[in-house]
Parts: sequence; C-alpha cells; structure tokens
Amino acid sequence: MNRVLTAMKLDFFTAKSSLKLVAILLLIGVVIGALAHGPIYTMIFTMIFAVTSCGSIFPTHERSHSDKLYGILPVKKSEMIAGRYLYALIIGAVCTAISGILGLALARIMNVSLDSFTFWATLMLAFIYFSFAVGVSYPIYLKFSFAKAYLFTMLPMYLIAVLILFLSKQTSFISDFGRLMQFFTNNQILIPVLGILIGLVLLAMSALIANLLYKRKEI
Amino acid sequence: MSNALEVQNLCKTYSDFTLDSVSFSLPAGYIMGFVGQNGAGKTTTIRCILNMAMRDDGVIKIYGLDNVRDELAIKQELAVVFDEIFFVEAWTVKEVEKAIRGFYSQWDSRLYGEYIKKFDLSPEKRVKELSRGMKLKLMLAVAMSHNAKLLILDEPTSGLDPVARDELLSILREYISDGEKSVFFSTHVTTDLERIADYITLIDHGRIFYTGTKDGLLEDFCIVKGSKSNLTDDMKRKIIGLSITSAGFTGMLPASELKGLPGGIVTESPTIDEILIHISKGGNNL
Repeated sequence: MNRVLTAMKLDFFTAKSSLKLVAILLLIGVVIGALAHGPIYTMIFTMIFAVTSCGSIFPTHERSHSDKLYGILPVKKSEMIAGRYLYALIIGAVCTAISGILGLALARIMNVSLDSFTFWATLMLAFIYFSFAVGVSYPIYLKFSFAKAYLFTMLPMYLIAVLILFLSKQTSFISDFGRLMQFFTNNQILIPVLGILIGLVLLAMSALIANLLYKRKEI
Repeated sequence: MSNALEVQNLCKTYSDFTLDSVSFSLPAGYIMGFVGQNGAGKTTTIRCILNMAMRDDGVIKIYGLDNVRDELAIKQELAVVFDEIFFVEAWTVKEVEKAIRGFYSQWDSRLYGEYIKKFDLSPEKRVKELSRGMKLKLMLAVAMSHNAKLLILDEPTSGLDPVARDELLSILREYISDGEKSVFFSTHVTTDLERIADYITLIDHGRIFYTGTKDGLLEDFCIVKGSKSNLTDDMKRKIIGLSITSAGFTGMLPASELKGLPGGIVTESPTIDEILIHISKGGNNL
C-alpha cells in the first residue's frame, strides 16, 4: 500500500505544473454557468474539465520519458496503475465537491432555483460521467499512449457531455427523469450513495482492465 | 568472487531483431563496458535486465537474485542512468528528490544534497533548464543516493563534450572505490572504456562476440595489414572485417591465428574501436 501511495504522490508531483490549468478551466465553467443562467452547467463543465485534468498526467509523463522512470523504480506495474487511479479518484472527489459548491453558490448569486433533487442528480450524473470517461480513457492511454489515442478516445466523451447538456436544456431532462424515478425523489439520500457506488465500480473495473493490458506491455 | 550481474543464455525475439543466447557476468567491484554498434542489442539487453522487456528465455541474476521474481528487492539495489533524462521537465532539482525518495528504503537525503553540491546543481533550477551534462549529473545524483550496489548506464556519454565525459569517468571511478559497488556501462564511445573498464562485453547483431577482461580482449586480437599478394585463401576465411584496396588489405585476426603468417604482413595491437569496426564489417564469432 505504501508503494501505491508513493506512486500516487509521484503523479501529483508530475501534474503539479498543470494544476494552474485546472483553476483556469474552473473559471471557464463558472463563466459558462453564469452566461447560461444555469448553475448545473457549471457543475457539469467542472466535471468535464476534471476529466481533462486527469488525462493531462499522461502527456506530461510521455514528454518526460517517465516510462523509463517506472522501469527503474522499485514499484510493480499494478501498484503504479493503482496509484494512477487513486490520483484520478482524488481529483474526481475534489472536483465533485467544487462542482457542488460552485453550483450552490451560483444558484444563490443568480437567484436561480436549484432544488435538492436536481442538485444531487446533476452532481452524481457528472461524477458518473467523470468515472466513465476516466474509466474508458485510462486503459487506452496506458496501452496506446496519450499522443496516439487522445482524439479517438475523448471525442466520443465530449459528444456524450454535449448530449447531456443538450438534453438538460431542451427537455429538462434531469427533472423529467427524476419524475419517473419517484423512488429517488422520496429517497434522495440514495442518489449520492448510488452515484458514488456506480462511479467507484466503473473506476475499479477500468483499473482491472488497465492492469491486464499494461502487465504485458513492454516499457 | 561473487557476481554483481549474471546473464545466461538471454534470448529475446522481435520481428526485426533477435538477442541470441547472450551470456556474460560482471564480478562485484568492477566496471564492465558493454560495447556494440547502434542496434547491436545493448539497450534491449539492458531493458531485459531491468524487466522493462520480457525475456523469452535465459536467466538474469543481480547479486544472485532473479531479475523478475525478485524485481522489487533488486531495484532497491540498482541504479540506472539512461541516455535521456526521465524526470518531469518542470520539476526543480529539489523536487526531483521529493518525488523519488519515497520509493527507496535506503534513500539518503544528506548524500543527495552532497552530490547536488559537488555537481554544482542548483536546487531551484528546473530540469528543462539544465544542459545535457547537468542532466546526466542529476540522474547520477539520484542513482547514487540510495546506496545502490550496481549502477547501470545506457549510453550516458553520447552527446557529451570531452570535459563532461572525463568528469563522468572520474565520478564512476570514485563510485566503485569502496570495492563493493559495480558499474555496467553501455556505450559506443569506446575511448571511454579504454580508460575505465576492467571488463568488456562486445555484442554484435544480438550475439556476444567477446566477454572477458579488457586486457584479454586487446591481447586476443591483432590488426593485420599487408599487400594483396600476401593474402591467402586461408587468411581470407579467418580475417575478421577484411577490407581490400589497391594498396593492400587490412583486417583483424584472433591472436591464436598469427602463427605461420607469411612474411611482409604487419601486425598491430588493436584499439577497442578498431575491434568494434572490424566485427561490424563481418565478424567470425569466437
């Protein structure tokens, strides 16, 4: 476990230089939410940008020939992968919290109603989207490298995100979906529980696949 | 005498290249030069030693431990310097230590600080701001700060000016001075090896041409030169890297084949460079 944590710390050290980008992206998310007069846009964009931030670790490593570094360090490939997913999970958790805080703050500032169900459903959908996008992209980046795989991996992800935004704008998708799910309306505490659970399962499955793919890869 | 590194019948096949039964051993406390032209298999061998590439067959032991089964224990004792730096460009020299030290149980921050000072590396300088020579020194500082017993260098001197190369050789000499540490040094700049190596392993097209002491290598081969009329069919078969011009011929012969050479043939002791050039032209394996 100690080596997994050290590998995760190494990823944070690696990503340190790109953390400024995260702050800029968050600001863009706030501006989009303010312009669209909808805090949920800020919440969703925050998580879309969280995916971008998590992916940026790969090009940084590739530019720095870190594959060689991992080849010489006393750490197993599986531990390196576990560290990378832990890094993503922490970024995801922090961005989800920021997403929620920004959503509530914008709703208050703009005097827009943001009911509890919409808030939790948006937040959890955004977290599930984050887990799905990271879960799909990480094994591909580990197998093929970021430079080769970025476009064909992330393009569908951005399309999915645009689709979610489009649906939420055109048809009050989340509210309609919520009405259909009376159960969740009456048991709102289950939304974050289910959202976190689905997100974690997606990330865990992805980590297993990444481990299988990367184990045989020559570095 | 125990071996720091032992490679036996290492085989690794790619679609366009094969390492064919590579075997050699480096006794503890010595420096071995691993020589071969570009593409001869030096880096592939090193990648197999580090388990970055999976061997198809053979055994690799470092201080008696298997390089795959005991990988984590081995890598605590192993330090590696590649031809290009593998630290994040935005890191400062100080941050490199922070990022790496957690992996090594015997990391010595005081020692790292001493090396940084000795190598004139500014702790606040970023990796991307360092010259090629300084980057090499930074890799060496990291490599030597966790009390590793075996230092592996893959083409560390390529692209370095003579002063920086000389500095590196001094550092390596000092590193092994306690008699316990060993250095495995892959290069195609053979003049460096003539100054520093105790043992030489020569690889050509994925096969070991020679492995043994440096003195043995230089004694085992001879450069022969003569006029075309002196060149017999028997000699043509035995000469390694034979080249014939209008002025005569030149090539390399194993010292054991020197007896009974026709008169008029000049023999000279070769340099490692000359041996490498002749085997690359067409080597007869020993």
